[in-house]
Amino acid sequence: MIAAGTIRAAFCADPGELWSSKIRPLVDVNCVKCHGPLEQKSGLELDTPEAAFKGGDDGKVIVPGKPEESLLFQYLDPKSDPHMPPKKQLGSVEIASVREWILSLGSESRESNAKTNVAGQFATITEAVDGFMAEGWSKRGVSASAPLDDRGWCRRIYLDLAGRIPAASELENFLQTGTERKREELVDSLIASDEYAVRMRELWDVFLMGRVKRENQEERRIKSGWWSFLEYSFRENRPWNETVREMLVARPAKEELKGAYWFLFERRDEHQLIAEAVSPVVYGTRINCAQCHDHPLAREIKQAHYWGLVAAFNRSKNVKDEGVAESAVGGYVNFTNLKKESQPALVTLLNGKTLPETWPAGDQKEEDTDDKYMDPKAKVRVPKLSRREAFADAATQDNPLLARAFVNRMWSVFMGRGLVHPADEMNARNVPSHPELLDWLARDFAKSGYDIKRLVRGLVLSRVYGLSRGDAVPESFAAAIERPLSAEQLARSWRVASGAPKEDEKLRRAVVMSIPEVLPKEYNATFQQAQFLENSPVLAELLKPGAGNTAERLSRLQNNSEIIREAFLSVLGRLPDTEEVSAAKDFLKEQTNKSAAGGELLWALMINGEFLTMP
Amino acid sequence: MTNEDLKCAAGQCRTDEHKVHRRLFLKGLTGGTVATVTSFSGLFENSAFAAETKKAQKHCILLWLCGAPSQFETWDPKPGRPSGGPFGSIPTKIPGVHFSSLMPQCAQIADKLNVVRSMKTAQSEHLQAITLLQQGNPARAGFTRPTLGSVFSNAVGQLDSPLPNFIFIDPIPGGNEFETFKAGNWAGWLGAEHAPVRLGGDYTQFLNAGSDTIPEHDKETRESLRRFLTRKFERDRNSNIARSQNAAFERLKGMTASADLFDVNKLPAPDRERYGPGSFAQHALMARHLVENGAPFVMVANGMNWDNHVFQHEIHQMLVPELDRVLFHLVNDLEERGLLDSTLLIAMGEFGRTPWLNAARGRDHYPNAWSMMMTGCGLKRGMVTGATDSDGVDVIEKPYNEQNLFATIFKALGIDPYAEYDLPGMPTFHRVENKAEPIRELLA
Amino acid sequence: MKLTLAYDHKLDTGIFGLAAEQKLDRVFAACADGAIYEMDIASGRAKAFDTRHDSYASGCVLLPDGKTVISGGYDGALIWHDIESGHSLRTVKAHRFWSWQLALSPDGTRVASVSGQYLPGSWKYEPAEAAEPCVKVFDTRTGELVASRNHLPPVLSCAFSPDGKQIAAANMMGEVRVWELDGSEAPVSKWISPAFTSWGTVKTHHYCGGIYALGFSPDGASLLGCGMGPMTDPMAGNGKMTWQRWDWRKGEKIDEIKEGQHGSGLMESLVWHPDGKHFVMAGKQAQGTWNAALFNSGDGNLVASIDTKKRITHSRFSASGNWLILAGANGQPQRKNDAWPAWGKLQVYQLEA
Repeated sequence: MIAAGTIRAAFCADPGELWSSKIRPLVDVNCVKCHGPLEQKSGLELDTPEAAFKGGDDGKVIVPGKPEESLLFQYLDPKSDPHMPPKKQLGSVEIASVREWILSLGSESRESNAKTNVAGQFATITEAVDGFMAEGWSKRGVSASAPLDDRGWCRRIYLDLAGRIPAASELENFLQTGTERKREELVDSLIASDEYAVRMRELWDVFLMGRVKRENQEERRIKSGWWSFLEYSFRENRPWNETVREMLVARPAKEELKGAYWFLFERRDEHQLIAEAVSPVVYGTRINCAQCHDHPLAREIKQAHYWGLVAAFNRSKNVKDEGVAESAVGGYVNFTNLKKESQPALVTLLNGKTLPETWPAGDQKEEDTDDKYMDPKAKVRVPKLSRREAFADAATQDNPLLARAFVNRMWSVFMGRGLVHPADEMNARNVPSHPELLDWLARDFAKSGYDIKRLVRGLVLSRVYGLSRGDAVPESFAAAIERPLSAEQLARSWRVASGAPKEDEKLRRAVVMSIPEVLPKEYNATFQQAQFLENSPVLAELLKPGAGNTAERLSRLQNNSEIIREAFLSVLGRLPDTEEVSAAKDFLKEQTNKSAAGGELLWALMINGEFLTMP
Repeated sequence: MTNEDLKCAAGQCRTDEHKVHRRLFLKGLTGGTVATVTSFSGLFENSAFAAETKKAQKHCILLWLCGAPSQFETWDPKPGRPSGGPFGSIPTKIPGVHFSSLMPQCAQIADKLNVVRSMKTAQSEHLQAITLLQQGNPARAGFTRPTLGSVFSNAVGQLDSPLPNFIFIDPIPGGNEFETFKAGNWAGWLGAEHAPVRLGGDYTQFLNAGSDTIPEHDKETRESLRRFLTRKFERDRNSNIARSQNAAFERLKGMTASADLFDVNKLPAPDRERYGPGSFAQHALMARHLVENGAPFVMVANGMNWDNHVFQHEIHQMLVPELDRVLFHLVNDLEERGLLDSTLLIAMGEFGRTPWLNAARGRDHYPNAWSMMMTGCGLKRGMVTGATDSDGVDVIEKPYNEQNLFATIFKALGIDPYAEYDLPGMPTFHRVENKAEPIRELLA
Repeated sequence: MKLTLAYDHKLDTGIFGLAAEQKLDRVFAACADGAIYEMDIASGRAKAFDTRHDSYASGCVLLPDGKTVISGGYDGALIWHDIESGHSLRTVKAHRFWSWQLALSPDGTRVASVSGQYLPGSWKYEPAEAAEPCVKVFDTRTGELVASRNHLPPVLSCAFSPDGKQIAAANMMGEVRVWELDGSEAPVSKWISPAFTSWGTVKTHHYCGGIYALGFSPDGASLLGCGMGPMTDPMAGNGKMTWQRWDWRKGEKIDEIKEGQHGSGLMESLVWHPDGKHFVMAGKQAQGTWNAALFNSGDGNLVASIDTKKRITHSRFSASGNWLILAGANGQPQRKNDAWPAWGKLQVYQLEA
């Protein structure tokens, strides 16, 4: 039937909400081209509320609370002269929205003073998250869904921190534990495990490098030490800013860090690709659009930033099997905007600061001499003045966006949606759903020395993390947002459910090829995925009875009810309800091959929607 | 679905109630043997029923020329003008009308085509423009409007047909902005079952029944159990993931039964020769073949190959003749097979290209004045509507936007363009907003 | 070595081809409006010959007697123009498709024109074989076809050897073929350089690029070619500015542009300095610091460069080698108030040691 859309509140007097839901989309299409980052006719910009309030050459265009006195509203009238947009007429619904927004600004003084009633002082991350969330729910007039029971929560936390479902014994153990702090204890033990490090590596390998598209790409990520570098960093809980610095400088000093260079190396001297990959990590936003022109909608992202970021890396060059060298000279490029004006690309940070450099004048060639290098004989030469090191320093110390980006990303991993959504577009386009919480978490993360385990622990012990699923508006986080399992989570969980022996690269690789997305913006099950689930031989292997696995155990049971009960517990971690028992019994009766019947039952349970979804 | 769709035409039942009746009807048809509940492949073995269904079924082939072709090098040439480019124009079967000299075959059959030369739209960047021309209305933040194929699938698609209602053929994984669009949500508020099945190139790969060890019967029953469990989860939790999974499995069933239709190598060799060797031409032929076999909506793309910011004339010299040849054969073949009156054939991109040549030998994006072609179901033949000035810079006659276009498309297909979607808890949406007028001079 | 601007002229329409007299008083520009303009270098005044091509004029050559210009165009025609009267002497329909480029034999008795349309030849869009020979050589006095050779279309560039005995032609796939003019139909040498051709994996599955200019060294031993390096996204236009020099008899690469000495963008023009020790490559800059540069042909190093901030389609040295003409176009500006602003460019630089 029809997909249930988000249920919008019928009455909405919050100007911020009105701006993002109604006015900004309207303004983006009809106004921003002439009144925005690229052009400011009559000195007026309309791409943000602040800019709109400022007005233009002819004064203010908005009188808060009084649409009929506001030029912005007046000019929309069909009979108005001047008329905006010049060659179009907005519909009555759109004009009504503008009116509604200007009206709502009248009461903004009341709203803006109530910025946050919640005290800014929280002792722990969990307290802060719970406090800001509760305030948000109260402001929206929604109530949070019920908390997950222990069974559901245990399955969820294992999947999030260990990348797999708990084994039946682990679940039982947790359920039986009587201590008050049992959740904290489980979280602590999972975070301390190797599985946590692998799980974090799986996530961040995809976030930083993208999913592998070819077989040998994975081999090279392993062989170069990239995976080990990430796992080591997460296991030892190295500060995030140090890990990022390591990747950007790409001159790892320790054996355990040697794979750090792969972040640059895999990109094969394509300096633009490097810049495009660095930006979401260091600034929280992609800036690919800004290659050819200033970002048309996110005004703070300019061409100079894009090319400035490229410049930080364009003296770098891969040395096969060794690392990424850097030249002491060169990399002086210009970039041209759409008006064909040419500017030099100085190494530029997003806050506009440029790194000081003396460029060679005119057609003078800069001499590349040995004395410009630390060790001129080294295979991978390091210049005394290294652009990428200077950039890496600036980007990982005293750059508040670094913490912000990481915090938002980890929030999106655990909660199903970033505080800024999409998680890699933290720019003026996308307003945070809980701005004070984001600010708090980012400041706290930076102050803690970019302590990842502390952040993770704080987030997953919060009330909002432990909520059950529901139909609340996603950005309210009043109910858990549906999250699909990643390929690695699936592969491992299938092994646990089917009782298969531990390591199985073949299965994992096959699932990764077939289901490559990690936390996609839209969940799209392709028929090719269905094909994989239906026909994959590696998956089918798990279902054949043998070596004491679940299928074998099932084949030894006599009673259909017992078989069904065992299967549900092993796979879904719960007992079946009466409907399910009935359907499963019908199924078992129809099976012609009795010894395979248990395996087929497992298949249906392992493939079904419930298994593929986070509890 | 809209209220209008509840009316039942032969083979087009929509409501759950009708589904049940249809199932029972079929049971009678097949002599009361145990019917696997949702597989209607048996339906098409009954020739009378099949013929009836085929006749009533409407089709659409959308040749999606992504990246945007130049109107100067296709439908609206301006020879001798500074904007004209090097190719010049040729007269067509329609007196007074010229196409680019790169389209001699379409010129021959111009009286079977319709061209709109006055498209004027508001989006000049690919992602936004693709979205606009695929959805037919400006986007509204927070809501995802279904694309044309999904609307088609919902409104005139076949229930439980062996072939997916919306097939999308594009062999190229990438395509920058188009890639982003491809990864998005095409079916919007209509739900995953109206999303396209993607094929072409490496996307068409069928594992040989890897599970030879499982008897067919057991395969069916385990699938029934999977479906039962996932549907229950979908209902109990209002789960999008489960919904999407179910839709994918349904499609798989239909696809496996029609595997040959998706294999380029199984297309008739003389046809393959005629259409030409390139992947786009071969997939266009596949689209015709699919339509012949009942597929309702087939969209054919080839990445974003028309976006010639660099080497406009060097690449269009190859792309346009291929398109010309493909359209010629498609129109003639459909007509020959008695399908042109029930098949809407559309060829367009997301905007046009600039009248001025840039410094990289290219033309850039131009939504201000561009052309598209459509013919077939519900449309006249041989109409050329709208006009641009002598340089092709501005539309001077009858500007039309995406809403006018979609109103025309829906009217041609016999669907109410202004029908309201039935979306509880959501704002009011119509197929085409603002009661935008269709291009009346094209409608039959 | 330094390049200083001496003359800077606009032309209403973009310049795609150029011929110049030895003493450089005037040049002949083959233009986008199909006309050949005689331009006075000092004043920039331009006057078109009577007869225009029905499409872009792509090239022109000046015969040694200084009285006749032969032009080629995208209409596939070769037109003989009498300079004095401005009338056409003869028109020959050389090809069904474009004449991409012309070359004049050193003794002025032969003019070569290369053609060929890119059409889909395979699933992957490799070019289809041509229906007619892509390389044609005509007698400049009579207009007769004296030789034709086959090459895989589209063939973008051609050049005569200094002794006039060989002709080289290169295509979009980076394949160069060299033939003896008075020899057999088969090439005496051929090789492919993948450094000039893109097959997009990002947006599209077709080929583009190729070798846009060729030039034999004055000693006849090597051949230079230029174009743009491969891009994964051809629509970015940011392939590396590329030249390569080959031992044409062996079909082997001798040298190519050096790392750190190039930006990105399509290079359409190559011309040898009369001293035989330098050459200029020019075109359009997508990124970098120059769009025309002088190279030392011995060590391949860049010696001097300039950024004219335009697209250069053609370059020529004076006989002395002290003057360099760069002709080309801006991006065509938008029409303003029903008028199309000028977009052609002709500049003359003085070259000093």
